[in-house]
Amino acid sequence: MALLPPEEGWYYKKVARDEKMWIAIALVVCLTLFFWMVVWHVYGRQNPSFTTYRTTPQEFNALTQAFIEKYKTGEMNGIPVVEPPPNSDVFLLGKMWRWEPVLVLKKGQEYRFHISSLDLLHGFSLQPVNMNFMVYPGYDYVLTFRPTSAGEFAIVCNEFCGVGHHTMIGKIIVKE
Amino acid sequence: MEEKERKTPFLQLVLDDFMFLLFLGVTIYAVSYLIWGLIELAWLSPIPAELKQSLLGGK
Repeated sequence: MALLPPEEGWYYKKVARDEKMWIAIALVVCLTLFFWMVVWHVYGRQNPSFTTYRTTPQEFNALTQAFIEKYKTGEMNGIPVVEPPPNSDVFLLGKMWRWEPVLVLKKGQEYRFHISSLDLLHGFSLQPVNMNFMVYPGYDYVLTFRPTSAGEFAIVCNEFCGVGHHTMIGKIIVKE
Repeated sequence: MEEKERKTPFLQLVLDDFMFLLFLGVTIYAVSYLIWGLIELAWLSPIPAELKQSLLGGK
């Protein structure tokens, strides 16, 4: 807002050359950023596009438990450890206050992750690579995932979900 | 005299009212994003039956 109101009859005055120039520059910057957003999404290795399915917490829990039962290889601190085959569907469930199960994956192989929550909003934050997704109950977020380096990765909840929020740390183990 | 009687154009009325512009600037995006979100939610499909079948079997 200008300090003073515009002079009477400003509406009928021709737009000055310098003002036109600044409007054009602003428009070019806006359009560049808009298209860069799309280009960077594809070429910049940003958060991958993901499909979302409609589900219910009960249904997703049943699928996750069936997935665990099918590929379980052990337990770690009371949380089941599963080793799904490459190119398969992997289920990861967030609930107060744990990520279930611990996943053992193979480096360089592709997996289709299905992530959802059993109770309330959680945040899937893969560390130290820093991938972040919000995880709502009732939605199955699908993302294609190919681990490119071996090691242990932590899944941290980055949406405050109650008194145990800080203890909600899951694990993905990537083998060579 | 003629100049004074000229009716103020509608667009000038809009552009001169900065509070109305602020209102439009917030409302247009709020409504657009809300409708976009509702459309996205309406178009969500359920988990494919084959996938459920492969894990749950006949359950």
